[in-house]
Amino acid sequence: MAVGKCANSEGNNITSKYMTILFQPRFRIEHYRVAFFPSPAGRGRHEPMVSKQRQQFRSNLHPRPNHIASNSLQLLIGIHVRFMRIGGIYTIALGHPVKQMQERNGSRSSGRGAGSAGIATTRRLHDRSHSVLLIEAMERVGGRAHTLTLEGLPLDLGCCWLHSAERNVLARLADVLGYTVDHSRPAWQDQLRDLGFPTADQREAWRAYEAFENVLRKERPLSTSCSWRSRMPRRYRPKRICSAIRTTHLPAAIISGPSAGP
Amino acid sequence: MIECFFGGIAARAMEQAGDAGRFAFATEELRRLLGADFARGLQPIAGSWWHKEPSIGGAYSHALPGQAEKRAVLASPPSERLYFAGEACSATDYSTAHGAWESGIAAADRVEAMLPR
Repeated sequence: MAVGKCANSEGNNITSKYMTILFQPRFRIEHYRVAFFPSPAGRGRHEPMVSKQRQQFRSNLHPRPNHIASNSLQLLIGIHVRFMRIGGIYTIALGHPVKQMQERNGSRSSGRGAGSAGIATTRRLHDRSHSVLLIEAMERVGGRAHTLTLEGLPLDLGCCWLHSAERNVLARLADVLGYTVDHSRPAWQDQLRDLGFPTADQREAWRAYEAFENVLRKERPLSTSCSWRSRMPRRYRPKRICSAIRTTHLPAAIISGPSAGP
Repeated sequence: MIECFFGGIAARAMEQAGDAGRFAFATEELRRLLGADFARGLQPIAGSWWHKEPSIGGAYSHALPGQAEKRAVLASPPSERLYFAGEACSATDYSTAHGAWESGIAAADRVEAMLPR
């Protein structure tokens, strides 16, 4: 199983710095249309916006064309984001009219949460010479790619592995960007001191898992409703898929899989 | 770093338990496996709260057995002007950042097809 984890040259996990991977090198904020909305004083981090704040939002959004570009990633606040067709152009709606903003900025399309998917959409549309507005509801970008720095050390709270590295577009991107990607087998194959999982059970679990995985590699199912059950070793085959997780005697490693995790 | 995987009700309960509650839970589990000395050396520093993030609602998506087809429902645009993307929309690479990325690329292509030239 090829799974990569970003690591620096010392082999230490730099906990992916997913944000760097997601944004670099083509994502430069000056190439994107970014709405900057300063955090209203006293507003709790996740409290819904009240109308007064909406008004502030609107006044921040409309009159100043210069709020658009920045050298660093700015705070993006959106409310209800949806596509609307106003005056024949595609635009972003924020729960209030943004037609003027769109006309001023010449922006005509798309954008929504600035997580991995939203960033990918934005990059793709930008690369195809579309003007894009990217809107984020939280006070940071990245979505579930979020790295804390504690005691000078990075800690990923969200995604931290480059799964399925053999077909992972972000793993390729990390390579292009010069990150060292560790392609060795992850430590989750090992049971520390065999705690709670005797060696014999582990061997059996891995044998079953490998047989299972070999079948998946030959004929990758698109969903759990495909016929993978019939490919499993008979003794591990659940009678019904729905009851498999709860009632069968599948080894724990099969249930969670060695690549469980974001 | 203590990394635990919980789903559904258990995941929500773990967040509702608060920092103290879930740290106590993890500590107790580790104490049983590794001993009291080990547990005494643990100190909480930070944790994730994905369920409590209103615009996120959980760490990552999980289709119940037999329900994987529902991801296609999630990914299908309800109109020609609204498109959804994200890891949960990926048929094959759900729960991952690259799955989200690829669904975002797919959404961009659909958006582009709808844009006036």
